[in-house]
Amino acid sequence: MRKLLILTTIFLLSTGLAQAQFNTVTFTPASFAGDEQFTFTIDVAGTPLASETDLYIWTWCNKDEGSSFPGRDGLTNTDWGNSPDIAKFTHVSGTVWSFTMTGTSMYGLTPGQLKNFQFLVKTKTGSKQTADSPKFPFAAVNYVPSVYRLFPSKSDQSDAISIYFYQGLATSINESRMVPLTFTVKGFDANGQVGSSVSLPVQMIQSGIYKVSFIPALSFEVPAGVTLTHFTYTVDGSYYDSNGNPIIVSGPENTKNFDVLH
Amino acid sequence: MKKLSFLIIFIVIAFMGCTPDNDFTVGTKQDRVKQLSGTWTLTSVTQTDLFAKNYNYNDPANPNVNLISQNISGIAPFSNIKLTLGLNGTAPGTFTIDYGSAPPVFNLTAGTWALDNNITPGKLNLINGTDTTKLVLYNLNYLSANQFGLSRIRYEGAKPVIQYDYAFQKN
Repeated sequence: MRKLLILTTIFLLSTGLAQAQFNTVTFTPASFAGDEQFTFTIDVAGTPLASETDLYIWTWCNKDEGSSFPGRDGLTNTDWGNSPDIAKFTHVSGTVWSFTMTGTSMYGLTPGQLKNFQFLVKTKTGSKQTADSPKFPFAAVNYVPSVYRLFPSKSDQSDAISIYFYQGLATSINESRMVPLTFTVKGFDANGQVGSSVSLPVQMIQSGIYKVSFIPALSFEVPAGVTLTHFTYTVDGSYYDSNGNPIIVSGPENTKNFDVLH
Repeated sequence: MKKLSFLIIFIVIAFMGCTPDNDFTVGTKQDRVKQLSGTWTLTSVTQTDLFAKNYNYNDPANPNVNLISQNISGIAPFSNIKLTLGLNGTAPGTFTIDYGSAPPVFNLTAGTWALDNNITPGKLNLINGTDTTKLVLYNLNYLSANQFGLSRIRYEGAKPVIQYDYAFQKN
């Protein structure tokens, strides 16, 4: 029994190590559509691949995403036991490696067919490998309706930002039955909230669609030298309770991370 | 024979009438530098999401909601912004920008300005030391009517993501 326990432990440990996940993945640009080239950087420190001098990608897209997003292997997946040169990662430094690709070329699908992709890192012969990466999304090239929409999709603290509230798409009872009155927005940097919360009156642009617009750097009175990292926004509104008394309710708090623009 | 001659002359004249007008002159040359000089007031600002534009975003359920561009003139006191372009002889010289209480959308407040082509400009740079704000001219043909526009592109890495179009009216 003791031997079995030890064997089981060894097996589990060895499997875990052999399939160890690589560390942080950083994308440049931060988001990308299927037809846009991007580079991602990984760190294989702590994995069985840490001391390897050549690393290769094994990648696929749209796993279990249905017929609108067909699954495909990357064109680099030619032979598990003998990965081609086009699958090679570029060595950045130490245990950090990068790979540059474009979804449409890699998977042979249109931008509209690409929802997400995954990869693992391996040796040329496949004798060592990491576990599968999480799913990394491609930016939707078709407009996808949602309860809240930010315009523009990319922004930093100096940009004009509009928050749209599509009440007809709301699923929570408070968001559905309120009469939207304001949005409460808060700005944050790495140390916490910057300035005060700001209440912005909504403008109805057509039945069921509301909007507020603001410039974070102005609204939050951001001091010189302070860079905001994100802001939060919450829709506030009112309705009458069962006794006929008006009550104020709020939707969920949403977060938008600022992008790095120049 | 006389009839034949008339017929030939008629045909020749008719064909000459079909000759394309190859007058490709570009009109009277304008002194764009001089037209650009002076003090200009910002009259409107349009913001375009270039990702949405690139993929022609539209919302069939709400066709009247523009997902690509919107006029943001009312978001901040942009009409406070006054741009003064001075001359150095007949060439671009110094500039100043008075933002009033508006956000400093061009980053700089003073310096020199330069064009990519002083005769038919397409780009205008605002320069202060090592800082340059790169802008694209539009509505150049409205300069004679004391109007023109400047576009500014914002980038994420090398990818253009937002375009601001600033329309100006000469004071």
